[in-house]
Amino acid sequence: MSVLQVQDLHTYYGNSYVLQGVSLEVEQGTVIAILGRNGVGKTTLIRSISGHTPCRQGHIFFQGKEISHMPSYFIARQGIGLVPQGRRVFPSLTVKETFQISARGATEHGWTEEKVLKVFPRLGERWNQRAGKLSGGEQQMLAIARALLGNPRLLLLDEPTEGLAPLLARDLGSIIQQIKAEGLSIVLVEQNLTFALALADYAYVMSKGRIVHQAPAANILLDAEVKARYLGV
Amino acid sequence: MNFWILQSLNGLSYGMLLFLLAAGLSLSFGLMNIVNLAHGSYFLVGAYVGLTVMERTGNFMAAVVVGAISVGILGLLMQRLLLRRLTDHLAQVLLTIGFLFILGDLSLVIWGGVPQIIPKPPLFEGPIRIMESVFPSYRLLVIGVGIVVAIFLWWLQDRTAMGANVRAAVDDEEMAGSTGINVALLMTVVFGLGAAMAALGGVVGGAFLTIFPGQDMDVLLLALVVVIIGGLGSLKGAFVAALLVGLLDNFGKALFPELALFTIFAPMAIILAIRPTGLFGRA
Repeated sequence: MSVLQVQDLHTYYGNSYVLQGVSLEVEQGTVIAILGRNGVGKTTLIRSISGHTPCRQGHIFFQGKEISHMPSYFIARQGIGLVPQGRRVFPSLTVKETFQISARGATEHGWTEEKVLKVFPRLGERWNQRAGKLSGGEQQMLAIARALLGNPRLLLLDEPTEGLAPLLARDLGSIIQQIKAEGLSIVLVEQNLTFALALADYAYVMSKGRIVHQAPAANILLDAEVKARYLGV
Repeated sequence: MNFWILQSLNGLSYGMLLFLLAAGLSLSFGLMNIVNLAHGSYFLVGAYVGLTVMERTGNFMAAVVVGAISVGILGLLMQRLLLRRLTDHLAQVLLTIGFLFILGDLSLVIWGGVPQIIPKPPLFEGPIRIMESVFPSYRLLVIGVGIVVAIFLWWLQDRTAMGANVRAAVDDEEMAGSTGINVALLMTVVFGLGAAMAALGGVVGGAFLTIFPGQDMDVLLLALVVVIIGGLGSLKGAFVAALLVGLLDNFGKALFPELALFTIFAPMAIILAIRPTGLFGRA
């Protein structure tokens, strides 16, 4: 069963026509990667799903329910967690406060404070620090923790490895594996092709606001033509 | 000697009123980017409602509570139904100036044009004697109320979940939304709280200043000065600047009555020249 269905999405950013009819589907418990060069509309796609840049035309169904023109807090509470590009932690809040305001709807087996701290023990050590004072890697952990604490069914990850040292990026990869193993569905936007394809089950390739190619992740890895044409590899 | 102590006390108590008034203005301007020129009207309407309640019941607490809550609701409705739909400052200014005139004229119709004063609570009517000096006890009460409200607001902002939500929304409104916070509702509540505090200032101030048509504009002007000196969106700034302006205004009027406004605006100009975002404003 699909968790998320995006149908023929058209989104404008001011006057510029960014998404020109994007459709995709995320199956329960899978990771899909959205690939493509800079400026092809990957982040706009994420912003349309999360409600920040509502589409002008098209539909978004989450667990069968239309969410395309709902406010972002409502979409979040329905079960879509967002880890935005550039982390965007709340600089004036401590780690503890960020946990407090993000915690929502945890059940016994859900993402409780303890469970999230088990995944990110480093955040426990920085408990009373303001988020603005954390290192880049720690901020990325906090941004993921913030999304998990809302107990989402679907996680949107926008360029999670951006600006991280290779070693940290590798750690992040195993954390995402761990999250996936919990049954979460994930939409992963990435410039880092190897990173994305190692995690994803299925991949969509975007160019100029459209999906130009889609295939199981393993196939993309071997597809020299697609890689050369759309991914600049 | 006594002159300085008494005038300082007057200045501080007036400063506390300005704090009650400016805190809400600073929050709505700094956090929600709403320019609300009807904020002085909340002070005036609150004072008049308090006056009526005091005349009917003789209970000062009731006057404070009814004044603050009724104006708080007025603020909630204004923000929810009208102001939050306007993102353009010019539109906000035009709308709120309209409210300034309408609320002022309605007050004139209901409460008349004669300056009035709210009777003080009996317990604080007389002076009290400390050492060799005599102080008007009500002024001390006002200072006490200001300090209590300041501590309450600091606690609300820094130590509660609601405060953390507000700070998150100020840091990054979009991400606050994606964290599941209903930012629009939160802003409405904060706006209403600001209106209620201005009304609280009106009732408390109505017992030692007179209430008169036009006072809405007088206090608005001073509140704007406080917000500009203190820095947009900063409660600490509003507190420090309110006391500063209260003292400057009071000593200015007492020492150089012919230069009264100059003693406020000259320091404001100097502070702005050195710190364009105000004493505690964010860049």
